[in-house]
Amino acid sequence: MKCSVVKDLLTAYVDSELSDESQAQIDTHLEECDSCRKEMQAQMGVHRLLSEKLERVKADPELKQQIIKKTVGQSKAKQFWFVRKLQFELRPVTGFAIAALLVITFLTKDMILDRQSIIPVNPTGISTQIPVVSDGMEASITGKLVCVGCYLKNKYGAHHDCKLHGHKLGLVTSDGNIWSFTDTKLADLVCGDMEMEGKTIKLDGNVFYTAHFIDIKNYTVMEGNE
Amino acid sequence: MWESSEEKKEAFKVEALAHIDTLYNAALKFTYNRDDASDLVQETYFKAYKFFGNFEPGTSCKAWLFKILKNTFINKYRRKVRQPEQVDFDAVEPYVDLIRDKTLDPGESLDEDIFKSHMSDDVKTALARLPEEFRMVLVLSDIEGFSYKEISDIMDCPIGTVRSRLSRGRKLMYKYLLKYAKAEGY
Repeated sequence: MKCSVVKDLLTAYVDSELSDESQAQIDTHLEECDSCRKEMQAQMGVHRLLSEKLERVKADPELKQQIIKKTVGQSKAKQFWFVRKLQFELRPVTGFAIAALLVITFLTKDMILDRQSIIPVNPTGISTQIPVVSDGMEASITGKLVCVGCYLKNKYGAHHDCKLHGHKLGLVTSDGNIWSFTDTKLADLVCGDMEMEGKTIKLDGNVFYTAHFIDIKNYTVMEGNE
Repeated sequence: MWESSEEKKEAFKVEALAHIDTLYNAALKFTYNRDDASDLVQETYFKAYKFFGNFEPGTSCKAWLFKILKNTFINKYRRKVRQPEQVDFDAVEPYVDLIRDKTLDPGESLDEDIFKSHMSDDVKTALARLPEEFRMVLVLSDIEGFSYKEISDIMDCPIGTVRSRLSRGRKLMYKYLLKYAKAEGY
């Protein structure tokens, strides 16, 4: 291989984006050519500095709360706004408004009851130790590690194809809630290893109740695993 | 795609919300301002939630979020945050290839030990000086580990352009780092 060709391919070589054959051809060339090797080392050096030396900055808990609140946590607020809007629009017809509000209250009560009734009771037999906390507060949660996709599929018929896209572990607590983990090395240790599936663990960390997310600070594998 | 809003929420929690820290870390390297980075990530998530129906399950949600992040940044924040000391892409682009021969003169290259001892502050400063077009692909490739194909999708440019921007961006970084190393007495 000529130096000019090798130099053109060095970036892709450093990023392992070449075929095995081209990668091997360049390996051979680099053993003999000082100039190309130096250029490869320069690129590799910058690549490593960027991937290893730069500190990863985490988002503030307030930002996470805000995002969660305005995305997955927004239904309650919307419902409230909807009721308020109805109240405002119906103000001239007070009698009708009261009747309508009574109906809405009655329906909402039913909806809440319905939602509660679909939550499975104690599917794991493990007690949850989570107190009612506000988003971002430190708490401990105990539960069982399951593949979230398989769990939702089995329980609710969700269209999740783990065979194709791989399993992803989450924590199911005794009240049937499913918790996911923020992207951290610790979370990789806990949920990146399918051997952990089925194990009961206690997680300590910052808990985002609205989105059911845990920023894991510490974890303990409990006794009596399956 | 999702039969109920509860199902959509559950999927959004599992697929998208896990990447807030990752997006914020990158947004900070795009904007160099904590408030702008927070706003950028928030806006990205609001859009992502609104258009979550366009996300194809089974593809990389992280890459999908980064595409929204990049588009939001380009459309709204880029002009506002351009750093005064930052090198302009158009001015530098034609000359980057000339850097190679000069920096790699014998005795002028950084050996591996010097690379290892480089402080993260120097790396941060060098990255901040890069023209935005180079810096973005370096962040996506070297920091976030996206493949060329994914970067080409996120940046809406051909894979060849990704490769050449990476190559040129790394050469410029190398040049800056060499300068800092010399200033520090290496």
